[in-house]
Amino acid sequence: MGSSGTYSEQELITALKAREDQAFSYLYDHYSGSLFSIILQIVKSQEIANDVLQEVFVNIWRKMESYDPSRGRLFTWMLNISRNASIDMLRSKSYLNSQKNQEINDNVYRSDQVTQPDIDSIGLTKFLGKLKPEQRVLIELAYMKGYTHEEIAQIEDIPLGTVKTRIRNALLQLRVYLK
Amino acid sequence: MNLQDYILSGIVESYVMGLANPEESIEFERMCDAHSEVRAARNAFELQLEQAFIQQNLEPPVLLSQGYFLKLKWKETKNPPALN
Repeated sequence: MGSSGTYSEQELITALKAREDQAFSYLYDHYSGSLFSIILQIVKSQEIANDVLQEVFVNIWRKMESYDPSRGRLFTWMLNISRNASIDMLRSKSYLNSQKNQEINDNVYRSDQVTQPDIDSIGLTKFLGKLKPEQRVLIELAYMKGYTHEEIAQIEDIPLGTVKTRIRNALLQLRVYLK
Repeated sequence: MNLQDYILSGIVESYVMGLANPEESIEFERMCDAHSEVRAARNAFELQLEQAFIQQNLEPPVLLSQGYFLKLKWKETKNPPALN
């Protein structure tokens, strides 16, 4: 750790690969909020997002040795682990069952609405909201729900080439908003 | 397609965000190995994405930071304890 109490990217990676407790605490303190936001935006439940975040940190711990900095930054790697774990959760039986139960509860009373944070105004969704609706729909399907371009072409009934072009254009537009 | 057109095609953003298909990803990694401009473009977008999150100061979920993770001794733990 540097004298200012922060790590450079390289120092952090070296410390994590050496499994230093302090480095994992730093990782949690600095990145778990960001990772939690993306998980919550995909699974849309605080309780399930907590479970997925735990799983993500265990996965980070387990996979750290195989992390290759030449393929991308640590944050990108962790963000993709978080997204993949969240999408796996969306497709799990337990999630699908919990959604059914939720629908039943929602039909009886909607008490949970009050305590739900406004997840559309934070993290990546804050920027996705600025996209044109037709672009946002495609990014939601691809990024938040994990559909392949082929599946999206079927769902939206548009040619595969168009899906690909629109998604790439949407990502380029998203980048403008990130600035 | 020349290098600049490739960099500006949306492949950088697509790869970083995990939306490139396997063939595109392999090709992109090959291009990163071969051209420092592609690597630089990837790194620039990665930094931008990271900053967009970090600048929002999103708080860690309190319950977790007080519970499970503080109890872990990463170095001593061969396998993380079971999640509960």
